[in-house]
Formats: sequence, structure tokens, C-alpha cells
Amino acid sequence: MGRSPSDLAVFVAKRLLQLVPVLIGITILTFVFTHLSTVNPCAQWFPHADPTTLANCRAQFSKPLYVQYWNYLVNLLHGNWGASVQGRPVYPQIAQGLPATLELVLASLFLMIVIGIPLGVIAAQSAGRWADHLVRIFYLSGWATPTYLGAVIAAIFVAPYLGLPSGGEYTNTPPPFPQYTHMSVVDALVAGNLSYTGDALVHLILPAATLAFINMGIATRMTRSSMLEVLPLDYVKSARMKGLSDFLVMYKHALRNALITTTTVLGVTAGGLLAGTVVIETVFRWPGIGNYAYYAIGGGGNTPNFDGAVAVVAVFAVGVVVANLIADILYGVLDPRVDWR
Amino acid sequence: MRTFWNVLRANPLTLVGFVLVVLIALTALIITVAPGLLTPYRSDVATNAYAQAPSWAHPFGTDGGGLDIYSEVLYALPFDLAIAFAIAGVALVAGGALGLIAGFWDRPGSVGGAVSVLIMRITDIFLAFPSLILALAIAVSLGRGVLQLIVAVLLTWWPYYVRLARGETLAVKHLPYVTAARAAGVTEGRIVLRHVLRNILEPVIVYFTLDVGTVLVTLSTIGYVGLGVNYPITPEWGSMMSTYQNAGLITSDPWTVLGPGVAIFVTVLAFSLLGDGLRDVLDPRSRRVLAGASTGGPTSTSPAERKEEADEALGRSKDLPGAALGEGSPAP
Amino acid sequence: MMDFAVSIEGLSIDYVVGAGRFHAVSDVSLDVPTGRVVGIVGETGCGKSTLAQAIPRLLPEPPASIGSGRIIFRGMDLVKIPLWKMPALRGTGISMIFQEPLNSLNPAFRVYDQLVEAVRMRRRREAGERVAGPRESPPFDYSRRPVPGAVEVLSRPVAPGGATAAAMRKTSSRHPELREEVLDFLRLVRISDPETILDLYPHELSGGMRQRVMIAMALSEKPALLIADEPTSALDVTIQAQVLTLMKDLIEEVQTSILFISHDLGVIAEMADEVGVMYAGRLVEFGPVTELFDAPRHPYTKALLRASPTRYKSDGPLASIAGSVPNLAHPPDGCRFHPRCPIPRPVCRVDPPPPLRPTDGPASPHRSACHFAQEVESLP
Repeated sequence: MGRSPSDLAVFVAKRLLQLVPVLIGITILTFVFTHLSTVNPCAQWFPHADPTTLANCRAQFSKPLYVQYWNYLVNLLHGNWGASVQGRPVYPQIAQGLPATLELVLASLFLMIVIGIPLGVIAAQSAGRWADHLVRIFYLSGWATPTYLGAVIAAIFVAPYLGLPSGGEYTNTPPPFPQYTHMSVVDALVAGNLSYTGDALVHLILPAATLAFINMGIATRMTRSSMLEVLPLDYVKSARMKGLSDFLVMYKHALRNALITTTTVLGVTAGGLLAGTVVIETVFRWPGIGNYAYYAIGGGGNTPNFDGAVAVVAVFAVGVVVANLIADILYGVLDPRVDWR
Repeated sequence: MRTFWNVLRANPLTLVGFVLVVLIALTALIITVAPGLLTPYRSDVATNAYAQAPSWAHPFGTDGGGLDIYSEVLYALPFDLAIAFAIAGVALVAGGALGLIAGFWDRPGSVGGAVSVLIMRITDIFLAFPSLILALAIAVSLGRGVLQLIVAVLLTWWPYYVRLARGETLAVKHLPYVTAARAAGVTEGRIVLRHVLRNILEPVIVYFTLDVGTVLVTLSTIGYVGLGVNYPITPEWGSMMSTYQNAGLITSDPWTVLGPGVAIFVTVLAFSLLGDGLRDVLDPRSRRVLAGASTGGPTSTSPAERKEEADEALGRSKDLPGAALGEGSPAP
Repeated sequence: MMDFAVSIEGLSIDYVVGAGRFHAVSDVSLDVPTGRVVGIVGETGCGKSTLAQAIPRLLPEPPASIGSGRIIFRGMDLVKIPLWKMPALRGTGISMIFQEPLNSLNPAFRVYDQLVEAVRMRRRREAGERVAGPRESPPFDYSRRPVPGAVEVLSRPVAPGGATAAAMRKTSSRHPELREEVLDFLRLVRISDPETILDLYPHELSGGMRQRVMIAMALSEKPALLIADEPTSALDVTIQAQVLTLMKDLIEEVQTSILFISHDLGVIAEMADEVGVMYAGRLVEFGPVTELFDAPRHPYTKALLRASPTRYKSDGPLASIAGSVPNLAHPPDGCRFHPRCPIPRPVCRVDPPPPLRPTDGPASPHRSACHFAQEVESLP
């Protein structure tokens, strides 16, 4: 039976290996973007730059393609991800922003799981009745709200109404302790500063909740469908006939099996969450890569940061790929019928 | 026609969605041919009321330039709707065709197999990028304008239909009656067109209905970020929000959010209600569940089948990162 | 006065689907005496599974609705009890085994985990703890329940070695007494070397093994009533024979009353003490098994027996019953079998035969819901 811990290692390793071609593919695609997408990229991207910058730019683009790509790859691996028009290097900014975005995404994911999945269970239990309709309206409303609308409403209307802050990681930045991880709550905890931990949590909750509300639909819907598939099966009846409470039957026996299919949506959900951070972080002034992406792409009428934009897009893609990988592994772990070898 | 009506009746929310969609489509039509019926103000003609709160004369208020927001929202409706439909439609046709090819002719070792692998590799790489982000990046490099907006979103969108169509094709391909048709001597082309296509059409149409909403959200977000079209030259809900934000109107006159916000929310909600309700009834998985529940019979339980069902549930290609790469064709 | 495990009186169950009502069970009354096996036989769709699942209130109540009747168990009417109180009665009161063993065991949990859950539940109730809702049934003296008999003590391995020893170490040694009990029940269902299957998942067992595990799981809670809903219908014939033999032995060892549902006349003939025949939601005949099969008193039973190839061998084509099962949304007037009956009379079209009722007395008489029961004997 191929499910021992060593088998699991093989399972994970195989999938990690499969990442490599995809990662290369991503770099190729971003390379295509940077070097082939526009006819006259230098004029497009630096319309007001001085002649030397333009000349340097053109020199880069005149080399043969494979040389360009190789240079590009080498630069990537060395952390040389280019710089903005003003000369600020891309890599440190992304490295600093990534954990903050991760914190936001994880918080949203947590909320989605804790709220969205039970909602799916409730909807399945009362399929076709009013509770089901309410749940559907709830998650479809989230789905129908564009991130920018949700963020603006949350920051401008909901925040003052609930007494929550409408932006930033802390009330007073920079915080009086070193930020090792650049995750607001973690940093404050590590520094032992409880008031700042609470402060960080309070700042985290609204953007995370908005992001969660908007993206909850897929998870809730998938949970509902899987539960509907699972509930008529005999083992649910067997569980009931053991005398277990309804709660245990639903959450221990039925959901355990329904979750197997739900993990497959993890990749899609991750994509939605990451895309949402672009707007959410901007509106809530959260210092993550979403925020960075917004300005790099030229949001709000700023000068685009070409290198930064490409880099951050690639990072997002890697994030989605990793999320899919985790989903795959999780599926293999949860479904006892999957052979790890 | 009667089954369509039954589908709608199955869930009151689906009916609500359908009615809303019809109303929205009608409104779009009226505003294009006879705008005077719905609003006294012409597009882009400023009134003398600047930045006024909602009132009877201006249900959504006016913006800094004196434009009646309600009218602007209405004028943006056909534009947004048409573009969303166009993008989703072209993505469906192009992506669907590619997916159909990749699914139907993917015998390993044949030319079809190689083409399939190629299509799916490219698709997978595109799918690795969150759609919004990719669309934003393309929009940036293309510049502003309607056509650029369409191209940007379109390039991001076609892979999802490839994946969906391929998944459905794979599910249908090995059904007994397809094999029977082949054994009876029906040509491959005919099989594809008559049998396979007709069967994948249903789930694809359901997905399309939901997708129109998603495309709308994406393209309006591009407008919000400041790319895409130029408002007030071309009215578009996301761009309207962006303009108000840049003018600082959202903080000083918060009602400005109301107009484009309500418009896009209601529109996307309408399509989502309709699509979600359709999916409940037309999704083969839930149909099987409904059939199984009444007889109490078991559904499929073998591990390979369950994984494949899960993959199909999203039209997910079995060759996504994480699945075994390098396989030309999936297990039947 | 005989002691009854469960007594069903005039039970009617409808399924409400859309605008129509589907009369799945109509006015069925029967008793399961303590320690006996009562079989229910009938074609698919006759309502026997619905009846079986209604007793522990397992049916999803929105589509299903219990129209009238009582289910008396331990002095309580299960129909009147609110659903949320039912879990307290299931498991140790009423237990059930199902048709598809692969679907009846949770595929995500190992054999040990599933069995120990049942064992734990029973132990907690024996200790008087409230589990899953208030317990309103009169206190049941668990000390009178027999422990698994001497048979399996003899089949305990003397000293497990090699693979079994390794297998023993893997599963939980935190609760050795629970583990011992789980192993006891697995031995009860004649699984040799049960240590080897504790860590396995259901899909890794054979069909017969799975069914035994399910029987062990049901019995480990020492129920007063065990409902077996077509337990062998999904098994190969040889495995079926093994499981049936097992169950017959268990009946003597464990002293649980059994309600055995099957469409297979042969299986019912082997297992049951008394048999009820159902058709179109009604109980049409009931009586001691040998008497009922030797001398049926209802035309349907007779036709059923005649149609079964194992009982009546003939050189000609297989006999079948003309017509088809009625639509239970609109069952025929009068006797529900009259459109297919070989001896229909005018009264049968109009006047339904009186529903069968159990009578007091030491043995249940052989009774039939047919106006002309005495004529059935002379039918071919």
C-alpha cells in the first residue's frame, strides 16, 4: 500500500520536479512580454526618459533573442530584477512586500475556510430550502462585487461604521520593533508587543474579510456540491446509525470526504485571492506586492515600472502554481485511495 | 423550450436572475436606440449641477464635471455588456475549438497527440497567471483604448475555455454511443460535430453565462486601475470609479460610488444567479446525484474516477502543474 | 404476552416530490419479537427499504413524510420523537447494516477508527454518559447483554508473530482495552488475524470482508434491534453463503432481534423465522417461514414463488407475473394487486382487503390480505 511517509516524500518530490518546466515556462512568457510585446518598447515605456536611458534600452533589445533570454534568466536568479524608472531596485521591494501579502492572503483563506465551508455544509443540508437560498445569495453577492467596489465600500463606509481602521498595517508606522518577517501580526508577536499585535490584527481584519467575502463563492459552492454528492451515500447513514450526533455525522464523516473534492478548487481560489490583493492592498494601503503591482502597472495614472510589473506578475504566477501544488498534495493526503507511489 | 422553463422554475433565484438579465438586456437596447425614454440627459453633456448629492432630478447624483451619474451609468451599460459578451464569446469559440481539438485528437504518438500536448502546455502556462493580473499586464503594454482592452482580456480568457472544453470532450469521448457511432462508420468529423459538440455545449453554455459576469468584473477592474478605456470619452463603469477616485470625489462625495457600483453589482449578480442556477440543473454531476438520491444507489467511487470527476468539475486539465507532466493523453 | 423488540402499527409513509405524493408504504403493521428474525421480502420498489429506514427515522424527512402510524420501541413511539433526539436511540438501540459494503464504510477512515467509534459510543452510554442528545428511553440494563461468546475466544491467535505483530504495534496502543474489544468483534464475525486489517482502509478489503466489518461495527454496539437492509444482495453467491452462515451463528450468540430485508426468497427462507411479503407498499402476507413458503395464502406470494427458478423447476419458459408494478403515486383502487392477479373478482377492484394486523398469542398466525385467501391453495 503506497501510503507510508517515505512514499509521501516521493509523492511531493515528483510534484516539485514537475514545477520546474512550468516555472521555466513562466519566465519564457514574462520574457516574451518584456521583449516582444510592444513594437517600440522603449518609446512606450519611457516616453519622457532622457536619451541615454533610451539608448541603453535600445541596445538591450538589439541582441539576439536567446542571448536576451539567457541574460534575463541569469539576472532573475541573481536577484537582479531590474529597477523602476526612478532607479529603485525591484527585488528588495518585492521581497519585503511578499510576506505582507502572504499574511493577508492567509488571513483571507482562514476566514474563507472558517466561514465558507460551514456555509456550504448548511446549504447542502437544507438544499432547496430558504437557508440554501440565503447562502447562495451571500456567496453570489461576494462574487458579483468587483474587488475595487468591495474595497472602496469597506474602507470608506464599513470601516468608520464599525470603528475599524481603514488602512495600513499599524496605527503608527514604523512600529517600535524590528520587522523581521514583514508580517505585521507575526512581527508584533515576536517582539512581544501585545498592544501592537492587537493593533495589527485590527488592521488586518477588514481587508482580509473583504477579500474573503469576494472570493468565498467558489469554496462554498464546491463544498455544497460535494456534500450533496456525499450525503445520500450509505456511510453517512451508517454514521447516523452509530448514534453519532448530527454535528459529528456532518463534520466528521460527511465533510471529511466532501473536502477531498473541495481541495481541487484551492488553486483557482489562490489565483482569485492574489489578483484581489492588487486592489485591496492599494485601497487599504497595505504594503504588499499587490500594492506594488498596482503602481508598477501604472495604476492611478502613475508612470509604469516596467521591470517591476513583469517581476511581480511572475511572482503571482509562481504563487498560483505553488497553490496548485499544495492543493494536489493535499488531495493526495486526504483521499486515502490515492497511491503515493 | 419547456425544459428550459422547468430549469428556471427549479430554483426561484434562477428565475430572478433570468428576469434581471432580460431587463438589463432590454435596458441596454433601449438606451442605444432610444435613450430619451430612460433619461433626459444626453451622454457627456454637462448639466449645471456640479457634485450634487442624489435627488429626484439626479437619482445617483452628479459628478465633478456636472454629468448626471445615473445617465452615465446607463450609457455605459450597453458598452460594458457588449464588450463582456464579445470577449466571453470569442474566448468561448476560440478556446472551445482548441479544447475540443486537444481533447478529441490526443492519442499519444500521433500528430493529434503532439498538437494536443502543445495546446495544453501553452494553456497551462497561461493559466498559471491570475487572469486579472495577466490582463492588467497586457493592457499596460498595449496602451489605452477599447480594442486594446478587448485584446488584453481576451488573451487572458481563452485558456479557461480550452481547459473546460477539453475536460468535457474527454468525458464524452469514451461514452459508449460515440464508440458505437465510430463502429457504425460515421466519419470522425461528423462524430465531433454531431455527438461530441452537442454534449459539451451544455456545460460550456452554463460556464459562459457565469463567465460574462466575471469578464465584466475583470474589464471594469482594468478600468478602475486606470487602464483600458478613457472615461469620459467612453463610458465604462470601472473607469467612472477611477475618475471619481482620482478627482477625490469618493472621499468628499461618497455617493458617487453608488452609481457604477450598483450597476455592476446588479448586472454581475443577475448573470451569476442565472448561471449558478443553470449549473445546478445542467451539471452532469449534480444530475447524477439527483438520480442516485431517489434510488439510493451509489455514485462512482473508484479513486481514478473520483479524481477525474474532481478535475472535470473545474474543467481542470489533468496536466496542470502538479499532475504528471509529459503524459500525452489521460487515462480513459 | 410476547416481548417485542419493535412494534410497527399502521405505518404509512409518503414521498412528497414536486406536486405529487408517492405512497411508498401504506398501513403496514408488524412486530419483531425479541430474539427472532423477521424477514421482509418483495420486489424492488415495494417499500421494504423505505420501511426499514423509517424505523430509526433515517429517511430524509422533507421528501419523506410519515403520514400515520406508530413505531413502538422500548415503550416510545419513534414517530412522535423529534428527529434531534433520535441519535440517542440509534447504535445501541437500533443498528443497521446496508447493501453496498464499500459505500457503507467511510472510505476516509481506517477499519480500526470506524469500529472504535462504535465501541466508544456504546461504552459511554453504558457508563451513563449523555451522548448526542437527552436520553428519554427508560434505562436499559446493559449488564444483561451477553458478551461475545466462547467461540471467538478459541479462535484468538496464541501468539501473533511476524506481520501480525508488526501490525499490532501500529494501531493505537493508547487504549488497549478498546483495541481488544474491536479485535473481539472482528473475531466474532470470523475474521482470522483481525490485527492485520485494523490499519486498512475499506477500499483495501474484499467485499465479503467489508460486509463482515460492517456487521461487526453494527453488533459492537450490542443493539436491541438490528435491521439488515439487503446485506448480501451486492455480494457474490459464494461470499453471500459465508455471510449468511455467519449471521445465523451470530443470531444465537448475540441475541439481537433482526429485521431482515431482501428481495431474494432463498435468503429469506434461510434466515427468517417469520416472513412478511410486501407489494406496492402494502403488507400482503405474513406468517412463519416454512408455512408461508410451503402453502402461501396470497396470489402474489404464490406467483413470486412460482417465478423463482430455484424452487419450481420446469422445462418450459420461466414463469413471470404479468403486468408491472403499479405507480405508487396513483395506486390501483381496491386491492393493489388486482390488475395482475390470476383470480380477480369484482370485489377486488373496489374493496381493498383489510390490512394485516398482528394478533396476540404465542405464535403469529399465518395471515393474508386477500379476500379469497383460501382459494390460493388451488392455484397452479
